[in-house]
Amino acid sequence: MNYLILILFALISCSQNAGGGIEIKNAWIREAPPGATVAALYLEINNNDGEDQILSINTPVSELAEFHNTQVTPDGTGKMVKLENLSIQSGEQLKFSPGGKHIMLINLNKVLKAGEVYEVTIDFKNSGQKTVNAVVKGFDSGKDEDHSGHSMDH
Amino acid sequence: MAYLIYQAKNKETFNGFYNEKILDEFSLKDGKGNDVSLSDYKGKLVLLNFGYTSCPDICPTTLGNLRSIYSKLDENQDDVQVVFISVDPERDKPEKLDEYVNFFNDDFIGLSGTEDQLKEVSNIFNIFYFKEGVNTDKDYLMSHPTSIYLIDREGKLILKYPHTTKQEFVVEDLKRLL
Repeated sequence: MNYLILILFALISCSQNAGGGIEIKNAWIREAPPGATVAALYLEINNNDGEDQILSINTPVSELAEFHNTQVTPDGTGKMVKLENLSIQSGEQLKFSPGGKHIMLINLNKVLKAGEVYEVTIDFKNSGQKTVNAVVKGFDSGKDEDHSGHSMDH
Repeated sequence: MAYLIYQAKNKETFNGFYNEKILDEFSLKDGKGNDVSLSDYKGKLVLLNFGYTSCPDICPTTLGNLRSIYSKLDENQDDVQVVFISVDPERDKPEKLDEYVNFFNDDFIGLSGTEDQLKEVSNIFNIFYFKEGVNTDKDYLMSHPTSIYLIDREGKLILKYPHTTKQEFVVEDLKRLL
């Protein structure tokens, strides 16, 4: 069983970085509670080439996928902002992580279970289509779900 | 006077933002359709947050954190109640809300109510929620409070945590209060 998992991860990591300019890594989808129609996908995009633009993102698990940012006002109200025509500069990294920028998967067509792996395809204006595998992760007990690394400052 | 000094000192020992407020009574419905009042939890510490089940990012993130925080309380779990208030009663019917919060932990309680009841709650906590003007192409999103509220055993709001607060900070405060 452990071997199978290792092989699976080896396959995932091989397919993560298919080409030169654009690199997509650490893609994961959070397991969705029962009955949920939405979920969030998180990943990192590194651009080692010239400026580019994201045209669209697709997954087989949802009807739609959109880039969003959770903005929190000083009074603590969270507001979702849709990020359209996201551009990525040369040498820039775009990071999507819990509690901030994320990819919203809308109208899920299946129940997402931890351990499953799905393809995510991002269409770039200059670099074309890039596909990576995203693993579904559950809620680990005892681990901070928010990976933004903020601490309280007061 | 001595009590005031004690209180001022005490405030600084907490990781959360001290935000003392006497809360008026409010009533909402739980996932089983029962009426629930804040006073029902008197004697327990309440960790409360707001959201909705169609929330993709911040609500599952916070509930996942609360699940971990709760698991670290071990034998003190009976003294703490985690409550999730849905600000989207249109889509979050009691059964759905119940299933959603219980996915994180069977002891968690999901509450919601009529628009009027929720307005009353938002006045009590001095918070805002509303349907977003800009929606996805398929459905609407909600703006809602992201903080975690800690209510003491007497039903008084005492601490507030930004959603980015590390779990161990909340656990430390809870253990100090337990």
